[in-house]
Amino acid sequence: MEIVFENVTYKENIKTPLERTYLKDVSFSLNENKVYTFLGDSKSGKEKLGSLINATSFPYKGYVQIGKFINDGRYIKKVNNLRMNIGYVKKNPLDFEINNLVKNELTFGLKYFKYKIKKEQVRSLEALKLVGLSEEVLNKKISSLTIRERKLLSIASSLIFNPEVIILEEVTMFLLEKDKENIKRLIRIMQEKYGKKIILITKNTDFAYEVSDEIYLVNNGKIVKCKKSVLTDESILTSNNLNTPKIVDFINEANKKEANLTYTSNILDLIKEVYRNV
Amino acid sequence: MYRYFTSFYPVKSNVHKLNPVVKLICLLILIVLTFITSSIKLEVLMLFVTAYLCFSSNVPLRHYFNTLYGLRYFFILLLVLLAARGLYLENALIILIKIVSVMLYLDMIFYTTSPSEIKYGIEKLLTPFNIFNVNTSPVINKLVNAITFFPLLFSTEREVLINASSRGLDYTYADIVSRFFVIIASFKNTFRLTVEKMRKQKLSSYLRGYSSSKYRTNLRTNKVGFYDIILLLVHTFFIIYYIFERGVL
Repeated sequence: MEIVFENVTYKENIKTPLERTYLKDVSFSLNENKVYTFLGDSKSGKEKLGSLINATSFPYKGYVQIGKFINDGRYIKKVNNLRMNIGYVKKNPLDFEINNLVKNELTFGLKYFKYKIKKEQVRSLEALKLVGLSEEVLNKKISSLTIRERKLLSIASSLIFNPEVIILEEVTMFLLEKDKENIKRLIRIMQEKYGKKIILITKNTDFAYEVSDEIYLVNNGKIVKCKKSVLTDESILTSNNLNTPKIVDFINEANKKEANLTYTSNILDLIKEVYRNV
Repeated sequence: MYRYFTSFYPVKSNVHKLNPVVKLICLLILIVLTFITSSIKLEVLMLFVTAYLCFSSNVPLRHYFNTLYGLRYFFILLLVLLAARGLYLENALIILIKIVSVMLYLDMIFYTTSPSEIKYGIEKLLTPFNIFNVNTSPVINKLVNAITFFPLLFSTEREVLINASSRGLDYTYADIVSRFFVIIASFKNTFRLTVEKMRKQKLSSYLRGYSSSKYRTNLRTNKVGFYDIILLLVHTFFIIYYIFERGVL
């Protein structure tokens, strides 16, 4: 499913003292099934990309093309055919939940997208297992879960209806290290084995450095496509209020002492590099 | 960001700077005068002052109109009821002006006064009860909770509707009948989430040192400025006008 942003400007509170422009004349296209990362600090405007792709908000100018659908503010016929192919995980799981029980939350999408599935429970359990939650969670109330479990549940409820495009907004927030490793593995499987398009919207450069195929820097409403090597450039990252990934920091420090390490995104590869060169 | 009746609109204006106690006193004067006077001149005068305050509050006028627009069915029903009772158009018009005036004034107060300022204002207004050792804090808390509940409910409802839309229960592109059913289907969850958020707000205010069982003092002191005095004088003029018109003096 091709996603094209064509001269998109997004504003809120138009013609009021609180008017704010989130995206300014943005154009790009995501054609292949890769892991695309939109990096930017808070209030850079990146948080509006997900809702524009999902057609829950509309551009002020320009249009967003998602497959055969066009979001330009006009009526979209059979919009559910678009949304059933987009799994959108929000930053804060508390903004995402709409049900009282875990099992209802999981099957909400299946129910309203009218999936013909008899084994809902089996599918729910599989989704829970996929994100690293235990089966006991299924019959619990959402309010009894921890924020970490709620975040994992929101990921599971988006993956359960098997969307083509998965938008993950600040996916590592509230998660433990082991969950992050699990999500990394999940992203790789989704993209490589099942050919999904993954869109990461984050300011976590460590996570982005390890999983991304393409990087887009978002700054003050403008989006620039960059090579992955941008994550090794400290000056560009600092000018965008982003941190340098810890692996890159380590390699830069080692290279200052003539270690001659090449940039690797994986910690195991880094250990091999150190073993060979230092 | 979406605005609803009773939500605060954070911009700078002279009306925002007014003392919350003065605002609440003026609101009380306006409500009492509106319901006891039958003079159309005084009504129009009060409506004019209210409109001026709304205009100078820097809050987009469409937000005020939205509130009145939301009450359109109520206005129509009221006119039908008044007509059924055989009331003249002039009298029906006065009743409408009264309601519009009070609604606009309430809107102006809520848009220009933050919940903490309202809390402070109500607290100060109820200080005479301290002489009788009456603990007014729980009442103030309940009043402020009631005021903040509705904007929270509406904003939560919006979040729920957007999330429901992204998972198949479409609201954004639905027709009016479908929207009604979507709201009905999601209302139980919206209400539950709002109550949950209210509980968290209560807990955070408690953790920050607020206790409803104790009398407390506000760290913030609101001074009565020039514009406060002008506003009080204008409302005092309304009272004098009413007294003279009634021929009491």
